Amino acid sequence: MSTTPQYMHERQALRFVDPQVLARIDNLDLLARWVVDGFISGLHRTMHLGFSTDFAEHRAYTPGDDVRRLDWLVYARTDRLYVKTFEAETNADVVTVIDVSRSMDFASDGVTKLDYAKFLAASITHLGARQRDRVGMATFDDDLRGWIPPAARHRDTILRTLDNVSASAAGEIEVPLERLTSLLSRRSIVVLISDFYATPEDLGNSLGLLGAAGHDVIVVQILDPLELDFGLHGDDVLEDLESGERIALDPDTIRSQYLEQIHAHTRSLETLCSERRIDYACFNTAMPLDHALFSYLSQRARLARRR
Amino acid sequence: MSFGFLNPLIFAGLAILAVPILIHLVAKREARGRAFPSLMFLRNIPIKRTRRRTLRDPLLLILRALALTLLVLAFAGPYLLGDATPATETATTRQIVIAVDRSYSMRFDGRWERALARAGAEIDRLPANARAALVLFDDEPHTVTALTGDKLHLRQALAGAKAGHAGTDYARILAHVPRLFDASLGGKQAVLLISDLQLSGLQNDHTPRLAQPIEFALVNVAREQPGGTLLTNVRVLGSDAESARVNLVANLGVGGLDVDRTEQLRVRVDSHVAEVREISATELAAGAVALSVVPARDHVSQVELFVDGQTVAHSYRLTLAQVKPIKVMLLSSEDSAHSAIYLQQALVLATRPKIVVQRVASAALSDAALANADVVIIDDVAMQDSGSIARIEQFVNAGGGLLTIAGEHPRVGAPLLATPLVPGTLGAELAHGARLTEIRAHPALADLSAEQLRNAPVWRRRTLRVDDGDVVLARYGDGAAALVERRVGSGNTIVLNTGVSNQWSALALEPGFAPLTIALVRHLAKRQSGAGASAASVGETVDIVQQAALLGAESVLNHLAGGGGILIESPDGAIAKVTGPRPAFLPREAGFYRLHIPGAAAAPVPLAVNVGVRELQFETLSPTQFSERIARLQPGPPAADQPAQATDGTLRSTPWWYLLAIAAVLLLIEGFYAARLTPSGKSAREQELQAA
Repeated sequence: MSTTPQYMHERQALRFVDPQVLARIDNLDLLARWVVDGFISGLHRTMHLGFSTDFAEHRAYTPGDDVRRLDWLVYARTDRLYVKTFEAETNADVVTVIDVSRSMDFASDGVTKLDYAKFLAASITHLGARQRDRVGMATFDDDLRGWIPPAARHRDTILRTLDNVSASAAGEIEVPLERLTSLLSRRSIVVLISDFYATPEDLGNSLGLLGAAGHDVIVVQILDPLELDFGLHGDDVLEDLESGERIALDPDTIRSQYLEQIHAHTRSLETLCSERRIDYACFNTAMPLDHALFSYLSQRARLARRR
Repeated sequence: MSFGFLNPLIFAGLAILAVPILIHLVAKREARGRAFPSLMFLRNIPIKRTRRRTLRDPLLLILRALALTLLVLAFAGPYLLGDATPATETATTRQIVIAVDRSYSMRFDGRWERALARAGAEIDRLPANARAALVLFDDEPHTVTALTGDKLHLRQALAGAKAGHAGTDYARILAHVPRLFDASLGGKQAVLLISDLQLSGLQNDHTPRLAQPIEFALVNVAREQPGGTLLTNVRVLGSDAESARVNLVANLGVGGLDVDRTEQLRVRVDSHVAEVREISATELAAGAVALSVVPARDHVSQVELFVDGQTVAHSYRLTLAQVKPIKVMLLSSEDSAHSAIYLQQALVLATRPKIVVQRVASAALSDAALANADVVIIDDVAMQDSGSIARIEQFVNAGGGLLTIAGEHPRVGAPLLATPLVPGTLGAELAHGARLTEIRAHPALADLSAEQLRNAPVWRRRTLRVDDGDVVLARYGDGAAALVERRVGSGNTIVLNTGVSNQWSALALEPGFAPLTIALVRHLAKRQSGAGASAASVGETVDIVQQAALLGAESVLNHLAGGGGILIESPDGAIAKVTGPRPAFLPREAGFYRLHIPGAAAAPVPLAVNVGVRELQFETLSPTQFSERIARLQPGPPAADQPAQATDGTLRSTPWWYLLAIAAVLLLIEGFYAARLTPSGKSAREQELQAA
């Protein structure tokens, strides 16, 4: 049960912006500023909980760490190799990875999942840039389609690229993420945005790959309300956006089974992330974007404190 | 409030309701399906395939079915018969005129019984504060009761009503209705017309009009046009002198073209069945039956033709008398031998009555010869013998006819011109010729026109001054008189201002010459064309002298000439007396009327009266069509005529407009709704977003 007072809920509800309103903003830069600066500015402190620059500690050197980050003074005193991790974390690489497969180009009523993902990516990029993080971006469908390496000055490039992203091919997750892993030379915060229509095995392999490379992975699953409630009625023929396959069915008779399946899928994805210490969030495109970010970042902050 | 449908057969069209249902059941979705991100999970589910026979979009189906139903209803022609009628209103005093059609057409197909039942029902439903008047009408209104609130009185009056034989005239009844209202009573005024809405009742010379404030209600008692054959007319073609048979042609109407029906034609002469025969298919198709009868020699025969159809029993009556020929004495000379031949040849062409010409030299004129003649023709003869002229004058004064052909003779100063026998004043010969251009509308020349004689040049003629009392029958192109008539004593005289010979004119060579000569002789002999047969129509004035002349009823003519009156016995036994030199009466009933000479032992002369031809046209109108032909007049200053419109408590002829309008609105809604259900099954919004 939420302990937030009712009036706070109402205030928040008033502040959050309908994704359909955001969809009317052509400029992703403006959109990101609006969402992050205008609506999440009150969470500035909370955001720092997530991408904190306050804490600082020395961590034992492990092979692969940048030798330039070694604290030689500590080495001189203790004869042990430590790296100053605070420097690295406060200037983290934040890479947003967006699924641009055709299944993302769907909206039952409102914005498409791809648009929602673009808004989210733009907001995260802007948020990172504002914290002086290096920001990068990758897009993928059945392969890695776009790649902008993390850099402090890549914010505008990413936003412009996001503007031109469109869905064109079927989705695949293992191959693109494998290629992405090879491209990421430093440990990064990887925000993976997709609808994750893949088998748990594929997902496990891909996420495991990123985790093994030392990246801090954040999985954001975006689904349309129709995918979550399957609110179709009457005889219908459904056509797979990616494969073109069609199935004639009576949605009323299979709704419960479908819901069972998709909930099982999201649960398995959540479990999979949990096992790999990966943050998982599921966004519904009907949710206000700033509200979704707010909720997620709050949750991440709580988890970070717990860790 | 009661209602009905003008075209109930249209309800068969409700079968088209099956169309949208079938479309909904059978039609499949477009091949393109509804887009869905991934079927990954659905593939794992054992899917129950679509319910192909279930109704999709039930709202769409309901809209379509409702629209079609309303369209069918509209075309079925619904009509509401006022609650009814004005009678059911109880709040205020109302004045209602119940007008019941009693014309001849109401006798068929149970129309009269339905009309009585409906009128009785309306009387029973009269509220206590209403006043009603009962009027029966055919071609004229007959007020049975003035405005009264006494239902018993109205009922009794209705019980005594009978269908008649007269035609229908809606204009007259509607003109009569306003006179029955009492302005001092106040309240609404209404008329309830109970009729078979016969089309011919609207085809009179005047337009039916009704003042706007008067509510107008219609009750149509005609179900359909009655089948069967009607005898619309019987024409007398001629007679066989030897066998005395008279040839007739009976014209068939209404169902006469239905060749599948077998009907019998019975002919009765003086109450004896003379012939019974089946009307052949050919005769039905031709619409005419030829037959012959033999009338009695010593009296006027009553001939009645019956057709017994499946739904109509109809008869036509006429009277037949043996026809006496007109005897003409043609006075000619050696000089006028040619023109006499023309005249003789023209006159022998006459039939019914025939004209028998006796050519006599002017010097041989005798009283005995004149006594045997009906008409004398003086053909360009110089009548010098004063004795002969006196005989002719006496002959004309006694009722004979005289036709003078004024060629070379009589010349100015001739003894004949000193008598009144030659109409007008003949003068000197004119030098210039002319053509006959104008023939006056005159009973004697009814069948003629100047066109038939216009091509005939008249080279020679004389001045002819018309005296007071003389009647010009025809003129030349320059306005000069060509034919002038004068009444002399009991007879008539006519002068033709030119000769018939080719030295004077080419009249004799023209096709119109024989009809002109025959018509003049018949007129002078006071005999009508087709004499010997007579049939009058209900509602048309009967000239007794004319009818008696047609039938050769000299006793009646002589009695009337003597100033006596005639008793007329109608078919229902009523007796009426007519007097005067030219008495007439208006028959209101079909059948044989009888002319009695009071105190005389002679057999009465029958007069046949039939239903008018117009009334025998049974074509009817729908209440809507009928209402549209009634002009409604605005009160106060004269306003343009407007079609009748139903008002409260009256026939509402417009429900189908409302139904059509509602159907149109439903179809619009259906269109919008169907447009939202795009072929792919996506909502319009989905498509918009996808397009964006």
